[in-house]
Amino acid sequence: MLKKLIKYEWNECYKLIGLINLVVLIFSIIACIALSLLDFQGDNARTAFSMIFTMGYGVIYVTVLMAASFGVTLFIYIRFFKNLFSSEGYLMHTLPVKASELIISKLVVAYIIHFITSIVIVVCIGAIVLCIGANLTGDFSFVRQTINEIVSLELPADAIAWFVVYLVGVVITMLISPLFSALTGYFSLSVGQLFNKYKIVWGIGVYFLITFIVQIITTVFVVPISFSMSYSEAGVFISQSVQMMVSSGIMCVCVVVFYLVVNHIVSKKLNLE
Amino acid sequence: MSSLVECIGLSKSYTAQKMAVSSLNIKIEKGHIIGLLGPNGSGKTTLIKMINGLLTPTEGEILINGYAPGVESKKKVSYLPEKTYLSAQKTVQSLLDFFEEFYDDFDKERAYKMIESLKINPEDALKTMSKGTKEKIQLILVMSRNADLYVLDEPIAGVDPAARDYIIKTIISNFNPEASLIISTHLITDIENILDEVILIKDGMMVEHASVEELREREGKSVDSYFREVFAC
Repeated sequence: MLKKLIKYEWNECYKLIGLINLVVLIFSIIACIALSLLDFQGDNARTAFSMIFTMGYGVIYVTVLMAASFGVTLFIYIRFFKNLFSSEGYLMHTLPVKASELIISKLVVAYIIHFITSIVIVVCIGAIVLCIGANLTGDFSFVRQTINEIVSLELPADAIAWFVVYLVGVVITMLISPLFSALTGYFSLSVGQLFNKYKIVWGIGVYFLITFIVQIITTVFVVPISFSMSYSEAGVFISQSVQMMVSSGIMCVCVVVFYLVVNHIVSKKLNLE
Repeated sequence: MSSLVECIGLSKSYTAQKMAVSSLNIKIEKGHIIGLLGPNGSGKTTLIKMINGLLTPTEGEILINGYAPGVESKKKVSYLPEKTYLSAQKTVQSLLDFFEEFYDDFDKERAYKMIESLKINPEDALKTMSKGTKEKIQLILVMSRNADLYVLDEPIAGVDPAARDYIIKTIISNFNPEASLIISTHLITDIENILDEVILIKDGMMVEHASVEELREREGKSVDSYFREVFAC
């Protein structure tokens, strides 16, 4: 049944998500074309125009990226609430499936959506950086030069080891953050529906409260680490690596706790009015 | 013989002050059509939602074929809520596919025949249809399952008399005699002739659970007249 639920969930989501990512792609392609054509090294008037255009479009582009990212997250939350706690819930909760299957199917699709959107945004930003670099240097040789410079950096052995730890932390955070983001919303909306009135308002309140609590907990664990390390090159890497690992660990714990609470509410405390 | 539905000391309260359903003890056997009757706010919908696992009882328990509401009970119960619960964007065809995919007992052929008889295009979305047609589509989906228990919450409320006749005809012609059917309504006259039993609820408590025949003989009046007497304001 889980496969069927995932398929159904994906069919309900892919059009809007495709549209959001298409908008990001279109804005990125326009940016790449414009950056290739603009002249940053010509006479004053042309350079000034290029700079103003780049700054203006940059503001619009960043706004589009933020709106896309926010829109995707909001869509995932609305979809969860509408499908499980509004009138559509009458259909979903009377299907012969477990509550955990309903939640997991939504999590899987939310994860895929976050993943696709993140990839699209990263690729688009990368393409724009390449276009800016190519415009300024005339070709793409700067990429090779930058890689060579990074490779030839002479860092102490323990700094490199800690840098690897840092990268592992980044990867774990990247893998877990879509789940954390989705489950923070699911948790808040599920707790909100335990109240008799103003369920959405309670859900929003719980969202801000839980986000605040998680940030406080992360700060309490992370800040002492940064003070306890030396300010040498290796010390900075160690400090940032440990901070990254601790914050990703807190995220993992939150993901497990949020999931268990959501599952408990949907399976044992459902009150569909 | 074990009951199809058994409520044991079933209670539900939404607020500390008022019980929506209070200490209900009900047994429903297989092969019966039961009218769940009571005025607005008497607890009919709350009871139906608890049967379907949409509300969690405050006290007591409810068993469907021996199972608490869950995956096993939902395989056996076909439920029509009082409100439109299907997404308006959906086409009739996509809903048929959905029901076929999730319910092993869904008879797609039967559903197609009923949809054809109403001259509804399966490719039409629900948002293009009238309220009455949407209600008919929902009923067709629910009655096309070969369930053990059908639970219909106000299926004939808010539709014109012609649509009401169609709905009652659809219920009778698709109802499996081995199954039971719980039908909640205020419009008793329209369904009195198809009922085997009635359960009367007032202020969340059961006032009466009797066979229609027994009630008519005992009271010397129709169920509708008896209802008006019991629930007179």
